[in-house]
Amino acid sequence: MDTRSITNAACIDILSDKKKSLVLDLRIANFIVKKRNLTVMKSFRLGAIWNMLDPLLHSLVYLFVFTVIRYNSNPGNLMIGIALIRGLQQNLIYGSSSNLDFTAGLKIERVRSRAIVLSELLYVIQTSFYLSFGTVMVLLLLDASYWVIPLMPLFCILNGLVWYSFGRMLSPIIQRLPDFKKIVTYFGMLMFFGSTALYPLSMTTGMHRQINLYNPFSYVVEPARYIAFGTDSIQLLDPIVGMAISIIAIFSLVFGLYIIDKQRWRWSTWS
Amino acid sequence: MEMVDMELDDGLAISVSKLSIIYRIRSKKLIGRSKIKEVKALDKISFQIKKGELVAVLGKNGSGKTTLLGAIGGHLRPESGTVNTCGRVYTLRGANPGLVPHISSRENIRMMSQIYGVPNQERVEFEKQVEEFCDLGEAYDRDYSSLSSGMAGRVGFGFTTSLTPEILLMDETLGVGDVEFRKKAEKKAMEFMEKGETILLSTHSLNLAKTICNRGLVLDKGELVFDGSSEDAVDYYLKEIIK
Repeated sequence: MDTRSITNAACIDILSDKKKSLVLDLRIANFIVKKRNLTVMKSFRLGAIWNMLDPLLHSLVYLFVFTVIRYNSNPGNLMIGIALIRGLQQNLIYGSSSNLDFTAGLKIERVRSRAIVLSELLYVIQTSFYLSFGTVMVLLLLDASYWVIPLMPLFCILNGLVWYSFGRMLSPIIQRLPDFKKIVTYFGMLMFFGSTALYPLSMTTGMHRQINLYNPFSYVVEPARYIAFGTDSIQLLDPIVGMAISIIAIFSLVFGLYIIDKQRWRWSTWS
Repeated sequence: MEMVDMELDDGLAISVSKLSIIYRIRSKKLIGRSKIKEVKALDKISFQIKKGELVAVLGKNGSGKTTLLGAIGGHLRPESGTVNTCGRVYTLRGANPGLVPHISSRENIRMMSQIYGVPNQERVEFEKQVEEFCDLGEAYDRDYSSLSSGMAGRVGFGFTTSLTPEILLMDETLGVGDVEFRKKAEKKAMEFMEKGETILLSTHSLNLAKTICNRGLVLDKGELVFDGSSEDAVDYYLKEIIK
């Protein structure tokens, strides 16, 4: 029989059938994501298709603005940048502000934190995949390499997870100081114009380039451009900085997900 | 971790020891730092409940009944003290236990029965049982969001009590719906009790507490002021709390 011990420090479940519990947690995670999708999409006639159409149309509008109105010689590079920067903004803000009702209103039984972590991962992977779907189609029209078909979704998912986890690291600060959320939103806007989303690293100079050499976003967008169009900005990246960013990203992802349990417990009696 | 081995080996389902819960409420201001007000909802409460006991929790509004159920259900962090439970703890609270508004009750029950581990071979029978209990007719296939609160409450109650938790925490839920439904709900709760499971029922219905429960706890301002038979608990509540 399952037992539970509840103290100030934690709510610990001792499960009698660990395999069955894992299956149930996976189903709950799937339900949470499904409920979110249904709640958002059910009222539209095109339903879940908007999950893919929304980011595609958004990117196409930006593409139009930055290529037709303001001439840009390489729309493919721009498309990759816009898709990935959207992933950055979306997931950074989502991770930092995901409220503590992670459970999609499930009240019957306490939802284990493991199920919540799984649902968060599923949600970020799903939205990042949808984001990549339309981008890949446009990139193929722009004569990108066929490698974008398997690799662009992968880049979008990695990018989404990295920025989601940075957001999660910031969420305890936002819980205490809600004003910080504004700063995160403006940081996302600054990244749109200041990072290498709208132009490759090779077009930057001086301090702007130096800053972007330490910007994690450059280490996702430039390899993606290299794979799609063989652009050479990737050579400007510092492999040691890239390694350091990868380690920090993995650490923050693990830590960001780990603190979900502590956070929801700590904040359960706050309003 | 040593708390898990706890004193639950001799037929106990719930053990609450010196449990205190404090809510922290932020009062928002237009500019400046918000003030944090602390409200003590439970104050060093201790009791134990054996497997198969049916316990009524009585008390005025704001006495801590819902908080107590929330703490036992693992939804609230204690300020101090411990809660140990043995068995799956389900809470029946409000009309909607998490059902999706944009799909029918039938689809909801199908989805929810999967996530709460109803075995595949029993699922058809389970769904039929919930449908019969809800007795909603064609409304059962309408969007859940289009149901009245009484109808929605039937689906929530029917689903939760058709599951087989070892411990069921019920928060005022038998007050949902019309007279006919309440009778059905009481019957269902009795059947549940006969299965030998443990129920903790927070209620304002003193008659219900007397007829269904075999033990009563009375809370007043976050303190446990009485623990005894349900008849005595009702008498104490009427004489000492309501006055």
